[in-house]
Amino acid sequence: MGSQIDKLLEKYWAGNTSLQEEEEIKLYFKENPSLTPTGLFFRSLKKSAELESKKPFAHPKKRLNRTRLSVAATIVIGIVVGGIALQDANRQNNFEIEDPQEAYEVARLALMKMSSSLNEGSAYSGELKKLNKAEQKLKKEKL
Amino acid sequence: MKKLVTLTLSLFLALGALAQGEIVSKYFDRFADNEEFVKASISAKMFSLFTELEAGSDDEKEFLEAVSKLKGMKVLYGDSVSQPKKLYNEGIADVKKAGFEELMTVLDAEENFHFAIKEKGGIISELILVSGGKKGFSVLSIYGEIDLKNISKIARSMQIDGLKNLEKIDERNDKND
Repeated sequence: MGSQIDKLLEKYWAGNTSLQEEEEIKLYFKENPSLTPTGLFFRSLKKSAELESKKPFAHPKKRLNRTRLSVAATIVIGIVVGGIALQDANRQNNFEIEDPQEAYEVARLALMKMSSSLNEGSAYSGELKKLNKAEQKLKKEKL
Repeated sequence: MKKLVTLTLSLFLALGALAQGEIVSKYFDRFADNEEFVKASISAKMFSLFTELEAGSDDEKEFLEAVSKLKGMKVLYGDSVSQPKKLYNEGIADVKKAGFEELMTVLDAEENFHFAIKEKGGIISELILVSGGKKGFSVLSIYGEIDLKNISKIARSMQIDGLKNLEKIDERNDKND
């Protein structure tokens, strides 16, 4: 057995052993405790192989899929937002005023319209308040 | 995963910004080839140019103050259009559907108008005016940071008869072309 294990070891260090042969070496050193560095090495290999992880096993493929999905989702969202932005920009450009003088006049007229309508609305609400006050006064007088 | 959530949120915020002025844009699309309507859009860049102007008179000062924080404006106006009442009612429905809050509605013999706003944290980010008369219809939207007090001051200092002058600008451009 001694010469057989020597041959196997020679083969192992040359990197030519099969898995079965490696297992034979590990088993040999487990059954025949040796304090030589080679013996310690193979016993530690055997021990490491027998260790069980405390964490549950997670298939690496699952993680890879999640990452891929995230990347794909980001790309899809990017394309959709980009498309909407481009469409909106094109639509706006059709009627966008490029002459500053003209833009100034249009903005002034539009804000004037908004402003006068706001004031008109406020005036109506002022009139309503007056009417309400008058109505309340009349009610009090009747009582 | 956190990065994806952050990215998605920022993309939706960007979409939110794009949605400003969206109602008038829909009318731009709808009446793109209809010559009864004047359509105009003023970009944030153009508004930034206005702020570099020096105010001469008081009305210019009021105007520049009101537009200083605006990011854009969209206008659709027609003074003689078919079915203005129907358009006005549709306009109000669109504004409500888009989540605007009603500011005021005035029903007048000459012209009805409806003001609505989008507000967040006490700041008005968009003001929309839908108006409809016997013949006319208009939708105006301004967005950015809006101060209603500044806007209401403009009419007191300026002496121009509203949007009717938009037609003149349009005619002048046609002549120039």
